[in-house]
Amino acid sequence: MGGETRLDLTAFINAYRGPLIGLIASWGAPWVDAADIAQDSFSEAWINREACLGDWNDPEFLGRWLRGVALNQFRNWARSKQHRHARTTTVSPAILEQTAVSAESAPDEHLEALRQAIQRLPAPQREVVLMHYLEETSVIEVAALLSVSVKTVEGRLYQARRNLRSLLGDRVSTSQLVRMLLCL
Amino acid sequence: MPVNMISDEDLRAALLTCRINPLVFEAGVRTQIAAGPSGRVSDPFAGFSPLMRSAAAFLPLSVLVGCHGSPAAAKLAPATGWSKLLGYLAFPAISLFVLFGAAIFSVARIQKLRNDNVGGLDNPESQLEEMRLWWVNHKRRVGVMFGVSLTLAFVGASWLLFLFYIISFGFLLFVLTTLAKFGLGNRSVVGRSCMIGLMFLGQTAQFAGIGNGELHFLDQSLVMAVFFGGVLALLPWIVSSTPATEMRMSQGGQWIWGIVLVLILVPLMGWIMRPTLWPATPDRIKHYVESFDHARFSTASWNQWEIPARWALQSHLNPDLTKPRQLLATEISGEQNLLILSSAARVGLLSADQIPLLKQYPLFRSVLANDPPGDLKPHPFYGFTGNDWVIRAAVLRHDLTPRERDVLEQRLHATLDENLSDTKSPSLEDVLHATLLLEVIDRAVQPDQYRSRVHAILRKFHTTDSGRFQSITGGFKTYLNWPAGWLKQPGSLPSTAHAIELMEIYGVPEGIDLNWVRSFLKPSSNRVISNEQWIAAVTLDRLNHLPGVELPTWLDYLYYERTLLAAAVLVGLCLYATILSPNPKIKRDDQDASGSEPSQLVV
Repeated sequence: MGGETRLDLTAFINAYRGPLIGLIASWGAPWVDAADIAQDSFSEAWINREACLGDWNDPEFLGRWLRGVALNQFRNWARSKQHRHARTTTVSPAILEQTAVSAESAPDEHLEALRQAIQRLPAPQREVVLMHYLEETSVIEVAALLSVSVKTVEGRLYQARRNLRSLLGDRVSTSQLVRMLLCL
Repeated sequence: MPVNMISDEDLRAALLTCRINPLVFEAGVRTQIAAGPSGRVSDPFAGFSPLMRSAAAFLPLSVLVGCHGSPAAAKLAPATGWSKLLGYLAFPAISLFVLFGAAIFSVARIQKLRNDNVGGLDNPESQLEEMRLWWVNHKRRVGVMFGVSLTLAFVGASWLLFLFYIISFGFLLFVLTTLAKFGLGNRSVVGRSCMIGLMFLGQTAQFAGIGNGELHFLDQSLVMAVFFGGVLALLPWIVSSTPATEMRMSQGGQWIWGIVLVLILVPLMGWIMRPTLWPATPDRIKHYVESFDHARFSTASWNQWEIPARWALQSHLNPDLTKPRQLLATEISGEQNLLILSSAARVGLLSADQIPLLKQYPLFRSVLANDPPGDLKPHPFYGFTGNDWVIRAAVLRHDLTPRERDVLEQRLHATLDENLSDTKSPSLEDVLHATLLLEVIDRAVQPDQYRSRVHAILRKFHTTDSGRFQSITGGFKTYLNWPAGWLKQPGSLPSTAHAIELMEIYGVPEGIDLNWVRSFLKPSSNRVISNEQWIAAVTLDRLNHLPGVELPTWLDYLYYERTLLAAAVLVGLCLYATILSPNPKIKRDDQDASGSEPSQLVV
């Protein structure tokens, strides 16, 4: 039983970790906090799985349940964030993140511009981009979490990538140039 | 890949820095899961929203959630939108503060309207015309309020009605303000408007089933009595302040109209308030037990009488059972119904010298305690209630050998096992009677032996479902397996009486909120007709005297009866607004013609 539970929990986390963190980040939480909220959501959903009236093996239901739990956790986080802002002087998490990233890796102008462009995408497109590309998760889990069809997710991803190109001023990246040359 | 799209690789690379270590992430989740439940239990405010946490900083938790309904409210609190608002209002302190806050605000507003009130229209025709205009302008709002009230009453949700009554405060103020604007803010118009509103609310509140599905300690029919009481209180003020010309009725006619209303409402209120005005006191219960000289519905009447009779004897009220004994003698000389004999035997009416007169005693006695053949175990009693009298009669006659007592003991234990197992349709009545009979044959049951199983079965039988027909909820069902699935089984009074007697022996099971049972047993005008009021009263007394049981606090009463309280406050506001309004001014034709100043006509 214990082994089975461990396997289930691991599979559960692995299936939805990337898209859930991406989803929470798309709601406006910094990445560090998004990961914390996702952890809270997984543990909350797992502890309260007995209260879940639907079928856990149904991805459509499980995705909706997990998204609901995550939304409540996100709201709690947003409320506590307001309290913290009212009482303390804090540095924006985004700045901290940028600092951390720049310390670890060399800045890439193109990727930085791409990150900023992602933030300017319409919300539905930004959601699927962050959910799908964070950990290269299958669109099936993304669709389950958003309670939409796989086709819808694929359509949004397609539009997002086109919009990103136009937001970046049709600049062609180095990797794309290499590929184009290889094709020639 | 089309060149006008961002590549997958670039997107992955852009988000690569945001990835987290999967193993660290999973370890964090597992740590939280391991620590989760204990952490939650230790924090009593864990399920509370920030507003509730803030409120808890000022109010102790016991006050904030001082009633047994609070766990449900705590579950509601983390919800959103309307659910959250209703959740807040479900907390005793908040809902009561809302009530008193609304009442104080309304009184202040009425006072201000009174101070700002101009003289008003002084011409009866103008008043009628303005009233017609008022109705044309506001009939939609009035219709909505009436519709909502009717719907909520039909649904039977008195706690929603509580919210509606709070909203009615606002509606009352709205009516008063608009009447003042139209120049109609005099005592006659205000009083009549209030009276019509109270009459309507009183009629909607008398819908059968209102509040039956919720926890209340008082009969919710009292809400209707409160509204009708308000109408009666308003009546003298209205009649004395209404000019004859306005009502198009003579002064004598108005008084006759008022008297007719009183003659209708007072008996109706008396009927509704009977359980409150004439509660089932020990003296009345004793009188009922003593006056049992006619079993109108045969076994059903005996069953109804038996429960209060046993309570009266156990409570040392020493009832004079001459009439019931005569009734039993008549039964013995006639049909000798086995169920009636069992009821009479349990109360102690059956005497040893009457046993030779019982025609079926030899037959039943011969098969009562025979050793089972071979290695078979003694079989349980089926149709147990009809055999009760035989065992008691045998004990009365000292007719049982020790061996027969052993066999009988085994059969009674087998009956208990059978009823407490999952293999048969159990019966609380059989469990109780088997337990009592073990005591009768001097082989009293050890409560510890069956406690957990009896508690389990009591939890199964307890219901907070009022069924399809809005029966009073909170009691114990008669059957565990109910064939008519669509027609949900409500609680039954005899079954609840048996359950409470079992609790006297085996203790109160965890997981049953006794306030629900109190709510089921509350005095109700509907039970007066069927004499069930006596069963409810004695069972409620047994419940309140169970060891370790706490009585409801004043806060419980305030909270669960907030609908009644809101109705009383609404009536008070109507009275206050009417009394505070000025008497109407009527111009007399001769004064109008002469051009003199109009005088105030107090009729």
